[in-house]
Formats: sequence, C-alpha cells, structure tokens
Amino acid sequence: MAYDLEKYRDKREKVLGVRKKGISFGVWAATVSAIIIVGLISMVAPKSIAYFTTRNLDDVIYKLSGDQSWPQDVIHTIATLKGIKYAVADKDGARLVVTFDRSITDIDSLSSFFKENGYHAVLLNVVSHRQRVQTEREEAELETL
Amino acid sequence: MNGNDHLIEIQDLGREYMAGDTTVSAIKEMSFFIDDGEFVSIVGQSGAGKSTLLAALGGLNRPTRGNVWVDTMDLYGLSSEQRADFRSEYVGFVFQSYQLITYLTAMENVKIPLSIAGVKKEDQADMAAVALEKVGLQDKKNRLPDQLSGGEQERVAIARAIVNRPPIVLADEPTGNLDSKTADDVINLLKQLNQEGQTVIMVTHNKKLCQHTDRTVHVRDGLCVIGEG
Amino acid sequence: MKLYNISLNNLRRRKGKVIFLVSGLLIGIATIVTLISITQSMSRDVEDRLDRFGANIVMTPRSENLSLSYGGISVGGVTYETVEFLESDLTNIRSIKNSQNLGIIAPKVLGPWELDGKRVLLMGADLQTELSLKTWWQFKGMPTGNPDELIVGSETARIFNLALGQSMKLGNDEFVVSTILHPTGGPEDGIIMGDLHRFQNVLGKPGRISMVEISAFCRGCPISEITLQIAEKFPNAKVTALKQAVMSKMQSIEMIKSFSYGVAVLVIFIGSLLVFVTMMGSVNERTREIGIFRAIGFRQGHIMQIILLEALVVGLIGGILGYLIGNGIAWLAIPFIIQESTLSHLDVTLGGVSLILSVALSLLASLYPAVKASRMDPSSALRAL
Repeated sequence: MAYDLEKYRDKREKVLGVRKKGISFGVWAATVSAIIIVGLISMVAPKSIAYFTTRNLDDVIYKLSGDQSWPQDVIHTIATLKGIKYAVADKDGARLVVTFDRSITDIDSLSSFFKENGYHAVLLNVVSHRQRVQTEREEAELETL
Repeated sequence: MNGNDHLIEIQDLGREYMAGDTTVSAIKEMSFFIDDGEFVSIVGQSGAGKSTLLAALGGLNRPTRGNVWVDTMDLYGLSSEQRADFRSEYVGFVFQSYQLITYLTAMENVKIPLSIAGVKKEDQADMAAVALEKVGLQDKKNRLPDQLSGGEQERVAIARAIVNRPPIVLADEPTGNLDSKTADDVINLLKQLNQEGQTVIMVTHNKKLCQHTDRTVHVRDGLCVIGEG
Repeated sequence: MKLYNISLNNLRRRKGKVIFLVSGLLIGIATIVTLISITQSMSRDVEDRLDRFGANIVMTPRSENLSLSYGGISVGGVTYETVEFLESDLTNIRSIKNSQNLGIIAPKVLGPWELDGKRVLLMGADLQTELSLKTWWQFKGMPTGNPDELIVGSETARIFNLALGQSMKLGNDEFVVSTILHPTGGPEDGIIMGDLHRFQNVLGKPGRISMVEISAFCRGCPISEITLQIAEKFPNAKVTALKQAVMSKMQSIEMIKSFSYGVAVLVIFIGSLLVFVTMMGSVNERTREIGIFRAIGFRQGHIMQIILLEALVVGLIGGILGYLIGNGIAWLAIPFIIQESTLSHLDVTLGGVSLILSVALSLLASLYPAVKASRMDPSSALRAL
C-alpha cells in the first residue's frame, strides 16, 4: 500500500516550517539584565570616579591689594607651579582662583610665591574644589531663574 | 528505500561511540521500515543496541551514518529545533523506569507535552483527563509519583506519552520493572493504543511479549533481523 | 500548564536550594540598602543643618598659625598672633555690593573669666539680635533687654549653680541671670552671655570684636559671592559661609558613599557568584529531568526559559527581602551613627532599584547554567536515566 502523504501533512508542515521567531527569551533576559547593570554602573561610577579624581583638590581665592587686576603672566606662572592644577582669574580679573592638589602643595607655598615676587595678595577664601564648582553651578541656576 | 514509502524508514544505520580510546559500535548496520499503524517489538539482549535504535528513531541520537526517515522527513537533516518540534508533534516516549518529574502530580506530568504545544489551559485539562482515564488513573490525578505504585507510574508515563495523540509511541522496556499482572495490563494498553491507530514501537528483552506485536525486529550485536510477531 | 508552573513547582520542592540562592542575593542587596540608607540619612542630616544655618556667615580674625608636622604626621599647630576687629570698622560690612542681601549682623566679644575658681567663657553681644538669630534656642526665664542681664548656658548654670534672678558680679559690674538656655548641644551650653559693651569693659577689650555672625536674607542668595565681598573689605579676617563648612561634611559623606559602593559591589559580586555556582550544581543534578523534557519535545529555548524563570523568582525574593532587611538594619544602626536621628521613611526608589538589580544579577548569573542546560545533548541526558 502506498504511503499516505496527506495523513500527517499538518504536522509535517509544522515541523518543517519552524523558523526562529524573533529574539529568544534567553537573549532578551541577558540583554535587559546587562542594560540594567550597565545603566546602574553608569549612574554610580562617574560620581565615584569624579570624587576620586578631585578629592585632593582645593581652591584658594586671592585678590591683589589696591583693586588691581591680576597680570596674565603671573597667572600663567602660577599655573605651572608644582601641585597647581589651574589658575583662573574671574571675569573682572580682580580675583584669582587657584586650584591645587593639597597632597602635593599647600597655601603657604603660594603665599611664599607671592611674597617672593612682590605681590600683595589677600587670601579671601579656601574651599574644596568640588564644592566651589557645585556652588557656582547652583548660584548660576538661581540667577537665571 | 527513499523515505517516501513508509511511515518510518531506516537505511544503513550505524552508530559508534568512543569509550575512552576504544570505538564501540552500538549499531553496526540496520535497514528496515515500519508502516503506519503497526505494532512492532524490538527484541535483543542487553547491550545489543535496542535502546540506541529507539533513540535514533525518536530523533534523539544522531547516527554516525545512514538515514532515518519519518513521514518522508530526513530526521537528521532537520535542525535541532525542528527535531524538538518533531518529537513534540510525532512522538510519545515511554521511558525505562517511567521517568516522571518528581515534583509534579500525575495530572501535571501528563500535561507537560501540552505546555509547549500551544494548547489552551481549559483544553489541557480535558485532554489530560482523557489520557488518565484511558490508563485508569483519573482518581489519582493529584498524587505525586512517589505516592504511586510502579505500575501506576508506568501508566502515568503512558498517559503522558499519548496525551497529545502522537502518531508514534516509542516504549523502552515498558514492562521491565513490573510484575506479570501489571505487565499484562500495560501490554494490553499498548495494544489498545495501536488498535486506535497509533504506531507503537516497543523495545524489550522479553521474547514472550513479541506474540502481542505485528512484527519483531531482532537485534543482536548491532545488527537486525526482521521477523513476524 | 505553562513553563512557569514547572519552574515554580521545582522551587517549591527544592526549598533548601532556594534559601541558599536567595541568601546570596539577599546579603548583597541588604548591604547596599543599609549603606545607602545610612548615607542618605547622613546627607539629610547635613541638609537639615544647611536649612537651619545655611544663610549664615561667620567672620573671625585671621590668626597666624605655625602648623607642626613630623614626618608627614600633623600634630596641629601653634597660634601666635590674633588681631581682633575694631567695632568701628564693622560698618564696612554694609558697604559691600550685595548689601541688600544682608540681614542681621551680630558682633561678639569673647574672653575667659574666672568664677569661683573655675574658668568660664564670657560672650558679649547684642542679646536681642542674638535671640533673633538663634531661633532654635529654648530657655527658662525671659530676656529683659536690660544691659545688666545675663543669658546663661545650661551646662554653665549647672556647674556654677546659677538660678534665674540670681545676681553676680563680673569685674566691677553687677549682673542678673534673666535667662537660662535649655541644652542645645552647641557651644552656648558652656558660656555666659551679656551686653556687648558691658562685657567689652569687663574683659578689658573696649571697642574690640572677637567674631561677627552675619545672616543673609534669603536662601537663594549668592552666599559664596557675599563671603568674598566681605573678605575683600576685611583682609585680616577669615570669612566662612556656614554652608561651606556644612558642605565639607558632605565631602566626608561622599567619601563614605564611595567606599560603601565599593563594598556593596564586592558583596554583590560574591552573592552573584553563589547564585552561579548553585545554579550550575542544580543544572548538573537535573540532567535526567532535562533529558525527559528534551525527549518530550522541549526546545533549547524552553529549557532556558525554565531555568531563567527560576532565576527571576529567586531574584525577586532576594530583592524584596534584601530591601526589607537592609532597611531594618539601617533603622537599628542610624541612631548610633547620627545623634537624634532615625530612618525617616522607606525609600521607594531604592526599593525599585534593589529589586531590579537583584533580578538582573540573578538572571545574568544564571545565564551560563541556563545555556549549558539547554545545550545538553538529549541522548547523553537520557543515558543518565
């Protein structure tokens, strides 16, 4: 008797018609989990890294007596001193903000530099670099409101 | 044979395993066919290659050489996923030692094949109930396997194998662990399934059971000889 | 019957293994929740102080200080020169560019005094101004506004047995105790306050000011700019915004937070490793079961789904329990770490993050075991039958 091809046609077509539909559950689970973990890491890691890279930085703010502006060459020279990260004058040029690594240098060294070079610099404030940047950002936001 | 003339066709089948540094031939060379609706027994001594042959027929054990066609499909030319679907659609396995899932009740064990067949929950309950009724265990549907006797577990395993009404039932030593009375019950059940239209292939080492089948495939040292039941 | 029924039934049966799996995640999540809750409470405590004192500026004389360190170990320093302010110079404070933001200016004179053989700190100030500045003070008695009245700190009153209405002589002047402060936990507990000019005479510092407290009108004022403007007027002064001092404490909290995250990451990594190892063991134990499922027709994806659904449930339980236990530990620990503080509420966002993190880690840690289970050769699995 010839084999009846029609008897199990539906089943045969079901088996042969199997195609991988879309993305498997495992791939979904792995992808979503990885995105979640990477997302959480990307939220936490930058802050922690920023903290560690700036934890030793302090800002000291000076003013020249007699309301003079800070000369550019002095600012450049200060910026090259050991332990100094940045030296920036404010927009009026009256105040100088020096960012330094307190594990390498200190305020006394800066004061010595000013004395040796004949600058009568008045120390206005010493504050943590991160704190000053954050406060500046907050106060700028308040000004725009 | 070209795979188009019978429900199951096996040609030049061979299966070798590596046992350490030695190559073991579980199947040396087998060629035969099984028609739709037959009740066939595969008989041989322990280690003759019976279970290996059954696994090859079920798409579970890729042969080293040769072909297995089922319903004109070259079984080992299909992908792994297609072979899984083949087993879901075509085959009901009755394993040696029943092999029920110990943490599922009888009813839940029977429903396992339905969980991946896309059958609705309500229909699952009906189909499982029908299967359990057929094996006479409707009243024990909520028992766990360790609360059932050996014979009862074997019947649950049969119910699980047939719940989806597969065309082919592969039974590996279904009476191996049973007393004679229970063994007779199981054989009668398999005969009944066959009479209802399912092709049943039974592996056994007990030649006496062959009298119940249409044909017998004698397996010895990896070779086979076809005989009448 | 769905695949999740198989997963849930398996977890129900293997309770011991579930407890083990959950414990690993629970400890990691509880650690994170505890540490974050504690640091959040610390930050909140600092922010509360900022709310109370944030608009205040303190001006003190700049002292010449010789810092002492031996081989990098600092042992403090020696102050060898302090020049107090002249009271007459204080009008310059109101001449800064942002003077419209300035509120109360409260100058003070300070000096030690010997009373009944013990030393006590005298503080001369405009007492009415002082009372309007220190709104959190609570006291017995009533300030009279008379120049001979004294406001006494709680600790000083106890040590010297001072009572309301009691009169006492300081130098050549008679004074009467009109008010005794309740304990504040601050420096005022240990001082005697009186009229600025009377105490200048008592201390022999006529026209001298030891420190000035300045309050700004608004919280949104550019406090740092005001501070710099005042510092420009008083080059010999140290002008500090209290916000700045409070914010330095925030720095310490940031450091603790960073350290906490590091610890938490480590603990969570160990917890995930535990999940991974336990799941691998579970998969090896279930070779037979997986072989049956594959023989029945389960695809690789179905097997993965069963394992990963179990991981999902374990992650959910670990996340919820970890969050609750972490909050419990924080609730117990915070009163010991921050005075007069407790865990104020359960942070729902933190709860959500804990849950998501726990589930994500459980899934990731179970991924390889799930893949391994799904790729098990059914025939090898069945040979295990």
